[in-house]
Amino acid sequence: MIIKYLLNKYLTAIIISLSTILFIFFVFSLIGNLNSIYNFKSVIILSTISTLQILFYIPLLIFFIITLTFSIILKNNNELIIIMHYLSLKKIIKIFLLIIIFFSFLEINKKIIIDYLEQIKIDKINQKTKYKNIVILKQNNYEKEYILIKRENNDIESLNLYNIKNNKINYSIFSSNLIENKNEIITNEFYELSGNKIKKKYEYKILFSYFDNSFFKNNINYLINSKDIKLDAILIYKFLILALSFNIILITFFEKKYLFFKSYPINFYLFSLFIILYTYTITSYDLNYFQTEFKILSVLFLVFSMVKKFKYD
Amino acid sequence: MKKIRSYIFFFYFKYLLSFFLIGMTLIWFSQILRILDLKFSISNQLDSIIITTFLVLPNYSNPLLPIIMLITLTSLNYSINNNNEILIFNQYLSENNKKLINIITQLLLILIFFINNEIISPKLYELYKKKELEIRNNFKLGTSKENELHINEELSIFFEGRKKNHFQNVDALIYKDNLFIKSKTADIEFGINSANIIFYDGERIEINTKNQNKTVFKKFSYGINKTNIDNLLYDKDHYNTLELLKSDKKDFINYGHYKIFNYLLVLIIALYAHKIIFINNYYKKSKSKNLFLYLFLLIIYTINSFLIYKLNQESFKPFQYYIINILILLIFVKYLNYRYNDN
Repeated sequence: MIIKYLLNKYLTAIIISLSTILFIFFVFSLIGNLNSIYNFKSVIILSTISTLQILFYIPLLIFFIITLTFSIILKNNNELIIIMHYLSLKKIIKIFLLIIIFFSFLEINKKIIIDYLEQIKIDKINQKTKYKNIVILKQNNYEKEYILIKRENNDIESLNLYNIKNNKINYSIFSSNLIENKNEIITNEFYELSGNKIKKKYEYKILFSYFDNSFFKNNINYLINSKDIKLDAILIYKFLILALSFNIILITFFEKKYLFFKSYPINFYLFSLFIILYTYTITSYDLNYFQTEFKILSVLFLVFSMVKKFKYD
Repeated sequence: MKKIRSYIFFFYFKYLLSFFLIGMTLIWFSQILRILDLKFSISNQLDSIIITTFLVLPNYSNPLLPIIMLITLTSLNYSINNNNEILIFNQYLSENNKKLINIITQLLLILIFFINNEIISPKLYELYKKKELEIRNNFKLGTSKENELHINEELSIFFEGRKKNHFQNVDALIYKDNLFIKSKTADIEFGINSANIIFYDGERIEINTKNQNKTVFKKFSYGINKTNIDNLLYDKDHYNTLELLKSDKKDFINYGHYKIFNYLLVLIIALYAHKIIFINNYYKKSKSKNLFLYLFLLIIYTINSFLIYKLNQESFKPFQYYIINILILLIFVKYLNYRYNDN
C-alpha cells in the first residue's frame, strides 16, 4: 500500500518537474531560435528538439529535481515522517531501484539520444544542404571499409575504397570512371593497391551496392552489420559510479537529520551538488597516470559515503 | 504584524531564489556539458568553461523571470495552504497590508530585474562572448563524436580510444588528396591559426588519377589552417533595451520590442502577486488550475515569439505587434481577475 502510494507520488513529482523544466527550456530555446531563417513551424519543432536535447544532457540533475519535488510534496503534508517510520532506507532503495537503473542507463546512453535528436534536427533544417564529399563506413566483426565518394555537379566524380583487415590496410581501390546504376556504383576502369603492388585494371566491378543519394545528407554514413555489445570495464565502472551517486542522492533526501526540517538546509543542497559535480567530473575525465587507482578510489569514496549514511540512520 | 510581513517577505524571496537557482543550475550544467561534449584538447580548460558559461546566466535569466515568478507565487500559495498558514495570514493581514507587502517585494524584484536586464547582463554578455570565442576558436578545428574527429569535409579521423592524450589505432582520411593514413597513434598540436596532426608508426596511401603510392612511416605530420576563425560579432544581447530600439538593424529593434513585452508581463504578474499568494484554494483544484496558468503563459510566449518572427519577416508592423500583444495581455489579466478575485 505504502509502496503504491510512494510510486504514485513519485509519478506526480515526475509530471510536475518535467513539465516545468520542459516549459523553461522550451521558452529558452524558442527565443534563441527566433532569428533563424526557417518558417515558424520549423522554429517550433527545432525548439522542441533542442528542449529535449538539453533535458538529456543532465539526467542526474533531473533526477535530483524530481526527487526534490517528490520529497517536498511528502514533507508538505508531513507524510515523510510517517513513511520513514514504516520504511527503512534499504526498502526505499529497493522501491526506487528500477528508477535508479533507468536514470543510470539514460546517463550512460545520453550521447546516443542527443546525437539522434541532433540528426533529426539536421534532417529538418538541412533538407536541401548536401555534402560534396562523403564517407561511408562499412564494418563487421572481421573487416572495415572506408568509402570516400566525391561529387561534382550532382555527379559522382571519384570513389576511394580502403579495406582494413586485422588492423592493416588489406587493399585499396580508386576510380574516377564511374557509372551510377540504380543503387550500384559501377566501374570499368580502376586502380587497385594490394600489398605493395598497384595495378590499373580494366574490368567490370561493382564498387558499392547500396548507394542512395540521401547519403549526401551526412558527411559520415555508417553501415555497421554486427555490433558487439561491449560490456567492458569502463561501462561497468560508469554504471557503478552512477548507480551509487543516484543512491546517495536518494538516501540524502530521506536522512533522519533532515526529516523534521520544513525545508532542506543549505548544506543538503551543497552536498547534493557536490555529488552531482563529482559524478560528472570522474565519469568525464581520464588520468594519464594511476588511472585504475583513481577509478577504484572514486568508487570507494562513493561506497563509503553511502555506508556512512546507512550507519548514521 | 511586522513579523508576519517579514516572514512573507523572507519566504517569497527564498522561494524565488530557490526556483531561480534551480532553473539557472539546469541551464548552466547543460551548457557546460554541451561544451564538454566537444572534449578535444580541453582537459585543462574545464575551469574556463565553467566561468565562461557562468557569465551568460544573467542574460538567460531575463526571459525566464515571468515563468520563475509564476512558479514561485503558485508554490508559495500551495505551501501556505497546505500548512494552513493562509488562515492566519488572512486573519491578521488586511487587504491593504497584503498590498503593501506586495508593493515592497515586487518593487525590489522589478528593480533587480531592471538593473540586470539593462546594465549587468549586457556587460557580462560581452565578457562571455569574448571568452566563448577563445574556446570556440580552439574547437574550430572540427566537431567530435565519440572516437571520431571531423574537420569540415577536409579530414576525418577515426580512432579506438585515447591514452595519455594520444589517439590510439588511428584511421584518417584526408579528402583533398585522397589520402588514407593508418597509424598506431596520433597527436594534435594546436597553434594560434593552425594545427598539426602528427601520426606515428603507420602507413599512408595516396591513390588518385595523378599519384598512386604507399609509404610506411615512423612519423608523418599533416597541417591544417584554421581559415574560418570567428571574430567577435555584436549581437542583440550586447545591448540594453534603449540601445536595441535605437539600432538600425531590424531584428535588434524587434528584440527591443520583445524586451518591452517582457517588462509588461513581469509587471502584470507582479500586480497580481499578492492575490496569487493569498488565495485560499485548499478545497479547490489548485494543481490543475495552476497547470492551466502555466499553459496560458506558454501560449502567450509562443504567440509572442510568432509575432516577433513575423516582425523579423516584415509581414507585421510594430504597432500591430503591440495591439495583438496588449489584447493577449488583457485576456491574461481578465483570466487572473476571474481566477483570483472571486476568493
